[in-house]
Amino acid sequence: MSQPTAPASGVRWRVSVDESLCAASGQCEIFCPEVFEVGRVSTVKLDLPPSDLYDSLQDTADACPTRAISLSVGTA
Amino acid sequence: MGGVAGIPGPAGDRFEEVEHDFLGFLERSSRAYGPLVAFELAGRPWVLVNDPELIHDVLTAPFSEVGGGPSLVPGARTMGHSIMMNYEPSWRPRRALIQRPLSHRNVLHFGDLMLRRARELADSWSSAAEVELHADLSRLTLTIVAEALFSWDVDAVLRKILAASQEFHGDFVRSWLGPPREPSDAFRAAHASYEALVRDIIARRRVETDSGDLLGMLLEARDADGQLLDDEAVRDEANTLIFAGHSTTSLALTYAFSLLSRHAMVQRELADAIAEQLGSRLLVAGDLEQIPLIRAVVEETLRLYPVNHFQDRTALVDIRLGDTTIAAGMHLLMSAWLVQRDERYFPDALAFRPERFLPEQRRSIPKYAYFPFGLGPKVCAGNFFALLEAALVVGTMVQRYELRPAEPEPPRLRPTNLLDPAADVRIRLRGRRVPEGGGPSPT
Repeated sequence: MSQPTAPASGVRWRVSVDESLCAASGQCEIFCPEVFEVGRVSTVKLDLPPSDLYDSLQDTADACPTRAISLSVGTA
Repeated sequence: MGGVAGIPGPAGDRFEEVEHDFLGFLERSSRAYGPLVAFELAGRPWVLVNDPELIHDVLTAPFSEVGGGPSLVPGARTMGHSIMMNYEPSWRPRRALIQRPLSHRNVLHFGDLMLRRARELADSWSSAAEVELHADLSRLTLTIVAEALFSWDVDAVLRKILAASQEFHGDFVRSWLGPPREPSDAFRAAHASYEALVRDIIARRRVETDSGDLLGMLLEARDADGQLLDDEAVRDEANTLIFAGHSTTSLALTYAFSLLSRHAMVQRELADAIAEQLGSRLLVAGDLEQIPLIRAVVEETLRLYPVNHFQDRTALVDIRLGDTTIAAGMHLLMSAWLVQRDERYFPDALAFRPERFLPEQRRSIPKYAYFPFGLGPKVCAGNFFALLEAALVVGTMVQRYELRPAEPEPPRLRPTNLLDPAADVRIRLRGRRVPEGGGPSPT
């Protein structure tokens, strides 16, 4: 699963979690509680988060033990 | 009628049976009693949980409801209060500190080191007709993790760490599942000398510049309130990476090579996939995405031989698992060995079929039926490091050698806290017509 390395100017990132991969490790909630909440699986509270969270989101996607988090180009 | 607290199970204390045949006991019990089996072990009540959904419920329960199991006691002797051992609120910020340098992107920095050491081992095998896998691979993985962590030349301390580790792993049921007992003098001595070395290294490194290794990252890491980790915390996390990070991967590699040696068709397919992608150059970390079969071989190995074969927890309050109440104080045992070899979740479950883990097929694996690194918040923080290392070593060796069995039968097992073989596993080697070096620099 590949993530964009940096958002181009003016482009928003869309965040999604592949529930079939999620093992509910909760790392995403630790790294970025503004966007993720973990119950039985991780859920995305803000699927188009503000750009000041992009660094944290990249860390989060990298740290997910099952690589269930995707960042894709979204539209506002 | 046996069982405990209304949950079915075998009667009487099963300590002797478990000590003699841990895996057999689990297999017989789950067949006879179903997804929840209660039994007594050394006077303590246990429940074997053998259903993926229920296992997930246990392993993702809040720490206020389900805490660590009895294995925390021996575990803490080497790993202190590290993220693996800690079930308190302080776990949370610490976990983020440790996870960041071990993310799938960051561990790629260690790919060159892993390849360099793997190629050295491959060179040393060139004159050997037959090799003892576990001995050689333990040395390899310890060298890699120590160098990644401490930038160490480990020769000077290798024997001390191995001695402490072996002492720590032996006598599994008594040490891990039996009543708490004091470690032996031999363990204390080996561990004390090892601890002294780690203390010296940390003290020295506090005043030196960062060398880009994991210890440097631990020494620079700050908690949520901006505080550096103290020496004791750095030591505990470093010890966890060393102890949990070398013996597990060496066993995974031992079983991977054992399986490949006995499955010539799979090995041929893997060697062809590597040759087709690389031609005459050597494998580097950047190639793994293009040759998914390498990682699939590692993952299928960990399905059949889950090195971390069990997880244990303790119910701190009464909890519900499905329709059953588990009383506070009961210990919970989850076995990857049982679930991952179950026909209900893996058709032809005992067959070595790495294609199950190729991208297009792995989604058909039932959720939570595969957990070689655990599930939930305590999932192994080093899984990307381990998978990268194992894939690079498997790919490097299969590119160089044809692996043939020295023994026709699968290795006999003698599980400790890890899924150890009863004796070292031997294979025979024959060189392939591939480059002996001169490929591009690893990237």
